[in-house]
Amino acid sequence: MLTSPAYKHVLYASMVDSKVIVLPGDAIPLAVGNDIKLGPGTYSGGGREEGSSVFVKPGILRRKDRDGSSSFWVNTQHKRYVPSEGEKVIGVVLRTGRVYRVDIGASQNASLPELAFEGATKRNKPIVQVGDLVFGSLCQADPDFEPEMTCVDSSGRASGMGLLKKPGCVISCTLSLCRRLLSKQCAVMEELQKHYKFECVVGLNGRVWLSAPTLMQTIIIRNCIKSSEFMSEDSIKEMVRQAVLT
Amino acid sequence: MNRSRASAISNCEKEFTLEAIQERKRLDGRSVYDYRQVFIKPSPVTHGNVLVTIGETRVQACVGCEVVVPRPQRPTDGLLYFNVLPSPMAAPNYDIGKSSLTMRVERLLDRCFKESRSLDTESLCIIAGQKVWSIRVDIHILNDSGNITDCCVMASFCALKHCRRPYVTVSGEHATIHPVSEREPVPLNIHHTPICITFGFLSEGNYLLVDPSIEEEKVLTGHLYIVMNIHREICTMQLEGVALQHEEVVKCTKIAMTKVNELNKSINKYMGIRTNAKNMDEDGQSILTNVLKETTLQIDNIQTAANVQEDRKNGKDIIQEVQEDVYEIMYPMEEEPPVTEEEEPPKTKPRDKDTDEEEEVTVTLTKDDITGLTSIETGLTSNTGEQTSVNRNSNKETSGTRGRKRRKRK
Repeated sequence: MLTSPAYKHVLYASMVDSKVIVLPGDAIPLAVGNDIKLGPGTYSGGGREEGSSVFVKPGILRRKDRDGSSSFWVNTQHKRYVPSEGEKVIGVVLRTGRVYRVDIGASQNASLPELAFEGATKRNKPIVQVGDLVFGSLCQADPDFEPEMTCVDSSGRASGMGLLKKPGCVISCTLSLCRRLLSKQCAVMEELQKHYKFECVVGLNGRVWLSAPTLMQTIIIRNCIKSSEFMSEDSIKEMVRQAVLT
Repeated sequence: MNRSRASAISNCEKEFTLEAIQERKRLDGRSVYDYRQVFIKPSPVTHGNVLVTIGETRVQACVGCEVVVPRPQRPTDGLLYFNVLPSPMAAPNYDIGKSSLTMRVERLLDRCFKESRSLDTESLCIIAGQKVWSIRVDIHILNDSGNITDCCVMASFCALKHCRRPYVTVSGEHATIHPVSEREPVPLNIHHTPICITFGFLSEGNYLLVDPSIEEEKVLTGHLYIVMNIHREICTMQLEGVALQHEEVVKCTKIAMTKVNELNKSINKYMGIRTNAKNMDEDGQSILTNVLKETTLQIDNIQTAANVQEDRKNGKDIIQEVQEDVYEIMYPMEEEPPVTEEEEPPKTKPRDKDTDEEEEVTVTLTKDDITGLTSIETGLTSNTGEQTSVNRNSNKETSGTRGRKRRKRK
């Protein structure tokens, strides 16, 4: 039934409006290839042919087109992070050594080689201590392997990744809120930007790092972001306006 | 706080939280002594199933009871177990199974309810040495957002308060457990309300926080748990990770008094309206009419549900008359001294032969009329009979109020 023509039709239709709800176990009637990529919420057990991949999370199917290829993923209401390749995450260093062990909130800790920083060589290593925050992308996230992180992009540049050394606070929130904060029309971010100057790094693993000039501002911004999850755009505006007044 | 796995906390978070606390600010905008919003939702369908939330912390407690053989050392005592079950979804560092956290909470709950005699375990006895009720409280931690201990204690209390066990009649060697469809199940005997208040300490007790949140718990060095009831009696106390001066403990106790008062009010508010949750409007007035419904049912069993409905419609007129009764029902523990509490339940609790005589009539009736009862053959031997009587005597000596009570009746 799952791979029935009707279902396929629905899924293809979703490419247009992306309002399809998928359930775990639903087969994906697409062949993974250069033009089709599958992201979080899907599992392709090694096979690339049509119908060998399935959805593993319940939620809304989303799609993004870029440079002639389209990627699909499932938007879910989750708190627990499941690593997915290419996602940028915030982790806490648990152990140092040649390969750092990093807690990214997933079931397994990620490994981060000490040379995976911009400009790092055997002689010139970054200074990393236990408990430091690190922002990097996952270069390996197979469910059967330990996730692996890197803090450089394909051309060896940091491009924003690396250690977060500045004092700030970390918000832990749901994964869907993180995704929303990263979207272009995020109401709470737009509103906060009007009133405050602050730095913000969003990891897709449910962690947001935040740094504002004063403690009070940091607390206000933190609470605004945390409580914006289930608010309408108007009430977010009102909330930020109230927060500025206090 | 001990967790099943050490929670990863970055230096960045630690410094930020410490700085905030040192500036007397809390991350969620509370002041130092503020408690978070408490919400209690008793299940409208099942007895003994209650959801309690403190802020974002959610705990669900369910009570189950079964008939078992008592321990030989304490043949007249029922059993009470607490079982804390952390869900792996509660926090990223939780695992299934026993951990130091669950052990600590379970031990605290034991002390709260058993050792402070909040739940009368002797009232759970059906036939001494043979059959007693075993009450198991399963506490599911659904979400940990700090202060799990208070939430567990409150959930356990509310669940025990909300629980109803089947009605039992005893005649000599026979005990009959009546199905719920046949006889209204009876509540458990609870004497007082133990409420736990958690204090967190930082830097050798220089900073104190009431009801720490999850972010704060990660940086706290010490905890003080004070369990107190509404009569300002300390049921149990536990200090870990910090050495406190005498004055500081006294100060905490004083704070706990006010907090216990507040929490007791909200427990009464939510639990007082439990039975008719469906028909609830909003506040006071409807609570009164609902309780009114209960009282009328208790006073006169002949009244049908339709009558009661009518009464509820005309509720406003009758409210004045029954207001006193209502008050007693809403605040049973505050108003009644412990001796009278003993007096009320005996018809439901055939604890021993003293009460058996009164109930024998009802037993014969049910046996004749109704088939398909769950009856338990007990075969009381003369040996155990002696044992019971001996125990009863010793009870008289030890627990003053009960002994006095019995003598009065004789």
